[in-house]
Amino acid sequence: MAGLSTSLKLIWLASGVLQFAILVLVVVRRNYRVLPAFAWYIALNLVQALILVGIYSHFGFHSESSFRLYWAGEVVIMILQTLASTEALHRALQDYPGIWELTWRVILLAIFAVIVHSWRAANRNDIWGLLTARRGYYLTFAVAFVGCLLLIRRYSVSIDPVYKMLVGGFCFYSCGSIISDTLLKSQYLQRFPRYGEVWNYSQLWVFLVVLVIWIIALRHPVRVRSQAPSLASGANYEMVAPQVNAQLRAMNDTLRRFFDKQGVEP
Amino acid sequence: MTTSLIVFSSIAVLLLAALIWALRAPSRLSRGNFDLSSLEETGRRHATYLSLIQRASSSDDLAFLSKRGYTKLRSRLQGERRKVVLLYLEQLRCDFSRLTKIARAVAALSPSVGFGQELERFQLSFEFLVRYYAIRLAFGWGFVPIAQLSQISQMVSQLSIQMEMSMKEFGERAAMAARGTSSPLDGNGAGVA
Repeated sequence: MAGLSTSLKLIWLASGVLQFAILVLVVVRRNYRVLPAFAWYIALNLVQALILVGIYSHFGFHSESSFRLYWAGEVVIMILQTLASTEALHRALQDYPGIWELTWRVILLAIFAVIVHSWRAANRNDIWGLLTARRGYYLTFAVAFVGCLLLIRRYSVSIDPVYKMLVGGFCFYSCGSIISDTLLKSQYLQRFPRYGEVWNYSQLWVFLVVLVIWIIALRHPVRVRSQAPSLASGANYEMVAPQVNAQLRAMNDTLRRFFDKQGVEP
Repeated sequence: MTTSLIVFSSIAVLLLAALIWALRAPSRLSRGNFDLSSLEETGRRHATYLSLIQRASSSDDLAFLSKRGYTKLRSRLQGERRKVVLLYLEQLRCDFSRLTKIARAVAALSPSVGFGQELERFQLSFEFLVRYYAIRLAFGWGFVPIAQLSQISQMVSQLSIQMEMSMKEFGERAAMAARGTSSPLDGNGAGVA
């Protein structure tokens, strides 16, 4: 574990303890039945931390092997993060299949964007390729999932606060990662002496905050099904939506006609 | 590099602000918006006063006042009429917003939603808001001649009557559909807030 400061080791240990606490809560409250991907995400995060302890002890913190093994594990964690967030949103919107139809398209679009961005970043062959791809992932993740939460708010859909806190935690972590990844590159290029340590601190502190939020969220069992009413068929929507749009179009046309008369088209 | 730091940090801060806004609990006022029984209410909308407003917007009155030399009174009347039109526009915006709320409520409760329809409505709402604020600005800065007031009042009033009928119909349909399938929605956060 040479190369890691004591305070960094302590924060790392604290994050491990908090993750273990979340895992215990997930098992004891039987939340793994409702959120299996999230349970896997936490469990594999813990396993990754334990593996990294072994790797750093054997190869050292700054070695090439540690670098490669860390990034290999990071890809798995990122995929699980996407799955866990999508699962939480899907659960939250289980009573609103129409809104879920809209949100999964946003997520799919984001996944496509991440793949294209990562492929381009990997082909660039510079030393910042991995970090750029990582930042791209977190940026796309945050845009997509914050977009989904905004969509949920726009449609005034009330979802269980547990899901809000889970997805919100992932989004908060992503925003923190965007800043710290950009800061790392900036500090390195400006020859900042402890740029690596600053990056690790910022990442871990943001993650600690998220873990505390999740502990608060998961202290009660997650509700499996709410009592939200729904329309029996999509016929009402198919009938109402085009009519409303036609009406709105007519109102817009009226305003446009007014502008045409005045000659002040905006 | 500093530019990239500023750009990405700003994006992250904006995303955080959007996240906080999205996670915020809806206000009590907006919870009431989805009480479907309220959609059935016709209310006493401004269209009821159409004939009064039309009479008040007549350009003959302005001509009469000018002829008699009441210039102060004429300009006061012009100002009052401008206020009336702004009120009409505000009412139109409320009607627009109410209609989009009904459509969103139906979409939220529907098992299937058309992506194209939703996108079109979002686009139309954006267009409407841009035009609405442009007209308000034009009125506020006096770019719109007073002679047009009566015409616009009439235009808005006609729309309002159409909206009145459409909204009543949509509201009745949505409320009937909700009643037929489950318990009525209330503002207690069960289902839609």
